[in-house]
This record gives sequence, C-alpha cells and structure tokens, in this order.
Amino acid sequence: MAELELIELDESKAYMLPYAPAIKVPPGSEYYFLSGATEVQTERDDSGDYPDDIREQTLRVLNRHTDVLEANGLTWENVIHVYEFLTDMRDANIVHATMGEFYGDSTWKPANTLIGVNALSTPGARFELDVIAAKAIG
Amino acid sequence: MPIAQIHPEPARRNDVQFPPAVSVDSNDVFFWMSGATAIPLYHMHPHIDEECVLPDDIREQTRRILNTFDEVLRFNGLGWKDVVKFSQFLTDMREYDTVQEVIADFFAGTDWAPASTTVGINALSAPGARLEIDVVAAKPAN
Amino acid sequence: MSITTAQTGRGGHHGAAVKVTGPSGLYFLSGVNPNPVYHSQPLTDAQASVPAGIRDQTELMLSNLVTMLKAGGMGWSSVAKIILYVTDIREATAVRAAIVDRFGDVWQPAYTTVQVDNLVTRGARVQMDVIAAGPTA
Repeated sequence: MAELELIELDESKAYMLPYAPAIKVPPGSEYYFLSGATEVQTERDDSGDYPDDIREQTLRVLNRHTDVLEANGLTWENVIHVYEFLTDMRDANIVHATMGEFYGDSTWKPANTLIGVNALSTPGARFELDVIAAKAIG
Repeated sequence: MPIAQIHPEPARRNDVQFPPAVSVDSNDVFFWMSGATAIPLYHMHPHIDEECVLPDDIREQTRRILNTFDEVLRFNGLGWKDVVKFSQFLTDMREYDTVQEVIADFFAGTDWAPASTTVGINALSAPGARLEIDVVAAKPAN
Repeated sequence: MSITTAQTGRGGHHGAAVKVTGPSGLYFLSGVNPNPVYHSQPLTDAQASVPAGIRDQTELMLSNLVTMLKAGGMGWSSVAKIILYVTDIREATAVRAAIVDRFGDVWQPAYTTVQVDNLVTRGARVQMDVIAAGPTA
C-alpha cells in the first residue's frame, strides 16, 4: 500500500529543516481540510483565559488540532501541509521549538509555509496554524 | 484528464496569466511543497545570518525561488507543466508586476500556468525576503 | 458523497473540518477576489477598480466564485477549504455573513481567516484562496 512520503532532496541535510521540502501523497488518498486554529479553545470562550505567552499559545493550537485529527482517526503523521501565520516573526524560533517538542520522537515533518501577518482571527492571538491532512488508502 | 485548466470562458484562455482554476484527478500523485524564499533550500533552523543573505533585486529573489522549485520538481520527476497551484506572498505589492514577469519567463514555452493566489503580507522568515512562493504539483500515477 | 463534513473533536467549538475522498478530484482556484475573473496582467485600470465597501466587494467576489465553480461543474457545497484574507480583521464577520446570506449555513467548508497588509489591487479588502472537490473529466 502506498504511503504518504516525506521527500528530502539531500538526506544528509534533513536535520537543518523542521519541515519537509515536499510531501508526496499517493493517488486516491483521503484529504482532510481543517479550519485554522489559534489559542482560543472555543469561538465562544469568554473565560478570558487567553495566554499571551507564545509557547503556551503554540501548545494550545497544537492541542486543538490534535483533537480534530484524533476525532478522525488521524495523527500528526497524517499532516501534509501547514501554514504558520505569525503576528511577530521573532516568535518563529519558539514556535518551531515547541512544535518539535510536541512531535516528540516522530521523524515526520509536514510541508510548511511561514507567513508574518497583521492580525489573526481571535484578539491577542500570535500564532495560527492551518492544517491539511491526508490518509493513504490501500 | 489528469491535470487541467478550468476556464469559465475557454475562448479567453490566453487573456489571463493564470487560469481561474486547475483540476487534479484523484488518480494523480500530489506533491505538497514547503514555501520558499530566496535563501537556499537547505539552511539551518534557527536561521544563521550567513545563510540568509538575500539579493536586493526582486527579479533575482523570484528567480532563486523558482530555481529552488525547479530543483524540487525535477528531483520528483516533475516539470513546470505539473505545477497546479502557486501561493505568492509579497511584502511590497509594488513589486507584483515584476514578479509575475519573472514567473511568466519560467513558464514560457510550456503553454501552461498554474492557479495562483497572491497576498501582501508583513514579514517572511528572513529579513530582506520580499517574496515567498509555495507550490502544489501533481502528476498521473503511472 | 465524496466531500463531507469531518469530525471536529470532543471539546469546544472548532471551525469546520472537511473530508474529501476519491474518486473526487481537487480543484485549486486562483485568488477569488472582487476583480474580474478574466483580467490582463498587469490589470487595466478598469479591471483593477473595486467598490469601496466590504459588502459590495464580497458580493462581486462570491459571484466570481460561483462562476469559477460552475466551470468545473460544482457549487458551494463543493468548497472544501477557504483561506480568507482580509485587510481588516473586523470585516471578516461581514464577509462570513454575506457568504451565509448567499449560500446558506448548512454546508461549512474549513476556514482560516487572517488579516494581511494588502491585496493585488488598490482598495481591495478581501480575497479567498479556495480548494474545492468534485468530479474531474
């Protein structure tokens, strides 16, 4: 059965990149398009509990997406492409380090496009992650 | 057809640089590529300054990005005719027309252009980077 | 059906998730915006002009979306994913409302909304990056 494949042009340099140059998705795969997530737990959350800390925001974003992935029987190893939208590009290193810790021992890395934008969908959000996932079918 | 331009008005196909849409058959293999600025494909993260020296000329930035994708496409047995979608991110929209000219050069002679979306944004991953492009490509399975 | 609503998890209210299975093809649309679908590069002044208000711009944009989807034999419920780019995040609500007014709220694509600096044409306030799913020839 064909699988999702992480394409490196030069394996000896793979360690440099926290993302894949390309992800190859076999024919007939299922695609999952997820709505973007910021740190806000619900669109109607009025707890006022929105962390300002970028690391904490990143963890919340990742946990929100994990919920959705798991509900569809998927893992982060099904994620093929992400957009990382940041309001302050200086946060990029912490975001990437936090994501690296979150993935743990997994060697999987999706394709990634990192963009600095003016504002995100919820006030105070510094990071939004847009996720596309896929599942290879036999 | 495995990958095709979709035109509401097929007679006007040559009026536009990019088609309104591109369709990809489910029997195709997809390649989702990371976005690239004009720094080399393989560079350290966190960034180190010496690897992130960007040319000042937007034409040169565009060429370097497209050359990076040329390398990734060819590594996967693909060409420019297999590119389905460009997403373009510019820090200075005054440079839009120039960037599209350079892109047109890369597609010259292919009788093909991908779907493309462009937005003007704040910042990219390295200081001095003024353009980022990300690419989706596809080809038939066999 | 090969394009359906996917699960969004146990807690909280997340935006929609959408699942696409074969034999559906994927359609990648060029930036859907208030400017004419067919325009030269560079755009002429007439092609580049947009109305002032977000609602009027959104109506033009959505009409263009319908035109592009129809050319592929599709409609609103074929839209899998939208990245909604606005120049003022406070206007995102108005855009979403206009979408519901035109297409109803039964079918929900996946949305990501961000505020950007600007779009290709002066005065444009909204653009969508759209992926749709439907049969291919």
